[in-house]
Amino acid sequence: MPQQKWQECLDVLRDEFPAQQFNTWIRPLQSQQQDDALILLAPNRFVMDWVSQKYLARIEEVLKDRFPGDFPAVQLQVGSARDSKNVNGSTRVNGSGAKVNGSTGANRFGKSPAADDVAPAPESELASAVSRDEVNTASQSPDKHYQTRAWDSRSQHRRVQVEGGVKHESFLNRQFTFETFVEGKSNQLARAASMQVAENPGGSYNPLFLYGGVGLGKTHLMHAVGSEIVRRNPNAKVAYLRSERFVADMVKALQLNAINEFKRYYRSLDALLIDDIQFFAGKERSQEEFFHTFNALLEGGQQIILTCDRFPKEIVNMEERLKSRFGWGLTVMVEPPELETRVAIIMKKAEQARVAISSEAAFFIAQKIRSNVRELEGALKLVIANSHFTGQQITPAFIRESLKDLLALHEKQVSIDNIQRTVAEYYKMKVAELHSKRRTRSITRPRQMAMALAKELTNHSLPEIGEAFGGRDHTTVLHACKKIVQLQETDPAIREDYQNFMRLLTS
Amino acid sequence: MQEQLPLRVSLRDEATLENYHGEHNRQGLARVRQILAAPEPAVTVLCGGSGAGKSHLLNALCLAAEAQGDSALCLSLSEAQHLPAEALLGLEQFRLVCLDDLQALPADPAWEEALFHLHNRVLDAGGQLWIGAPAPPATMHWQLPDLASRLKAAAVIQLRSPEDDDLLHLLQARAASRGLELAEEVGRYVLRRAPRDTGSLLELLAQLDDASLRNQRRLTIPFVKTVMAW
Repeated sequence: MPQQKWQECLDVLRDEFPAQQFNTWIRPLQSQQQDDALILLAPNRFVMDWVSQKYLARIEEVLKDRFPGDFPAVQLQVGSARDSKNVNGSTRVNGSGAKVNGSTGANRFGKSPAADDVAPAPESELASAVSRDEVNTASQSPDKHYQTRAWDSRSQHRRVQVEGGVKHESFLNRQFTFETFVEGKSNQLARAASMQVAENPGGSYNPLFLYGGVGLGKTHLMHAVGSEIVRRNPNAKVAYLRSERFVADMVKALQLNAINEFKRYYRSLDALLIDDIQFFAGKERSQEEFFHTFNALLEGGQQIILTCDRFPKEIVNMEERLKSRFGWGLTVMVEPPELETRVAIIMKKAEQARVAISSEAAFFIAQKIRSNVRELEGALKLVIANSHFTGQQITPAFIRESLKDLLALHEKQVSIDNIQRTVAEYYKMKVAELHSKRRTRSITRPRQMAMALAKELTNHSLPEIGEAFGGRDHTTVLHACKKIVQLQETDPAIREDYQNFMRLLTS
Repeated sequence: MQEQLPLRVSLRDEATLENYHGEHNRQGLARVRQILAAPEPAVTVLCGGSGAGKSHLLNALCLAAEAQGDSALCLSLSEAQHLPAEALLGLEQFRLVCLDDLQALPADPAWEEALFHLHNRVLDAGGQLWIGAPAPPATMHWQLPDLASRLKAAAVIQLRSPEDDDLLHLLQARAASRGLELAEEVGRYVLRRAPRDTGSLLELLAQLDDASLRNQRRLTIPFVKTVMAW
């Protein structure tokens, strides 16, 4: 019983090594029995190498000591007990060095593990096609998506059989719907476009390209569209995935000589939703494959939805032909929520958490946390958790206490001094010029911008702000604020600058 | 002095949720238990200065998870210095992934991206990610905004560094689990002189235990003074 022997070996090693080393490297090894051998599974190649170099010799010694004449051979492999009922492609590992070839377990695009006789593609062949980053992305143990626990409870987890015996799963999060999305001025265009796409997938808004800073609800909208498409047509094959997953699937398909199944699978979808497309940057083989998938889907009238942290043209290390195609359909920006939307989001989230929160308290949090929705939710979660523990009501004073570390940081970031430094640096000028009496346009505009930001982001009064800008009158500050609001509506450059400042100063 | 050689019997001094001490952190510990018991995917950051017991809790969480049949792994990012960022691949196969010493994450975009993807994969797999850090992630500097926003949105449990009374209770409880009696005045004597981080204190206790057994002596102030050469 090699596995029992491993348990005894663990008892010895636990007392020999410091707890941290033992808990990090030895205890997580999952044991399996194969004939008379003891298979130890490490989560990845690097853990396997580390264990091999530092601990394998000792593991073998302990087994020999405790079971003289009857000790099991030890094999270190990459894999997981959850998905490696059938272990293949492993290499016998000894104390002098370890290496892995192939992979373990099933793959969506390969043959089933029981019949898995697919030889891994030679390293050299892969190397010519796929970058190191791409290979590394794929070296995670495969198919984790398909053996989840808690995810089952919140995702639709639809399985649809498609041609070639490839199973389809949507991975849509059912919590992210249009109903749970809080609409405001900052995201109403993106929401309206998403609704249009959900009602008429494959129509004129194809691809739908949603972009904007982190934590603003792009992923939420994407899931909402997917869920709505499925609600309207339960047979629709919709797949949501992060770009990292697409890369991993592609590399795995190449390794298993199953690239045709890979292509067939992605091209069979009615809607393909890929999140955070910017992580394709620098991964040339994935971009190439995605380019062809993209074209095939578009020609077939199937819907593509992409999210990205920036405008298509601004993505670096991305093929031009892809960037231009991203703009063929509808490109919509999701902007940081304004105060009213932030208040509405907090009220909605509190309601979902079944927590009573006054509008005064919601307003207080919304006023303090301006950067993005995810952080807003994080702050609310912290406040709710503290309220549960102390049994206190959520009042502005209670919030201030609960978020004191976070608020101190935000207040530090958005001092007038910091705003002036950031604005001066952005426009390549000196802070002293913002304080000066000079009134040339090249100085006046940045000064007005800094004043407007100080009004928006700090709690200083107009006279205080005026004072901080070389002793100016409060009416000058008021004029600056109005001017910047007005310019944002007429001048795209000013609008972009303002948004950049908000991002720089609040994230 | 006649010395007796101590018998090297296995002595488990493992970190558990039960032997995590500190009255100040009672609420924090309750929240830790609550999150651990919940079936939802979660990201939680344990924050606190040296000696607050972050590593203790992370290791204890792994034991607790394993006791209920879940798989768990605890990795100190201080060890990441020796490894490439790909060391984080595949870790989502564990239901509980604990990463200690967030501040030691190499200042390298590849590591930040690897942590970002791991974060997503753990949540997608329905698991829990626990992180130990000296300060809330919101106060730390990040190059990758995607990672920053996710870490900032994580639940933060602030742990306070132990006070003298907490450390005394800790020492006495650990001494008792070794069958060793540590009187209060001896404990306070030790605390006035020893380093204050729990790791060093526990090592010191093991040293005293060893000496006590060798010399067949109880722990008294003169004996401790002699052994530690204070």
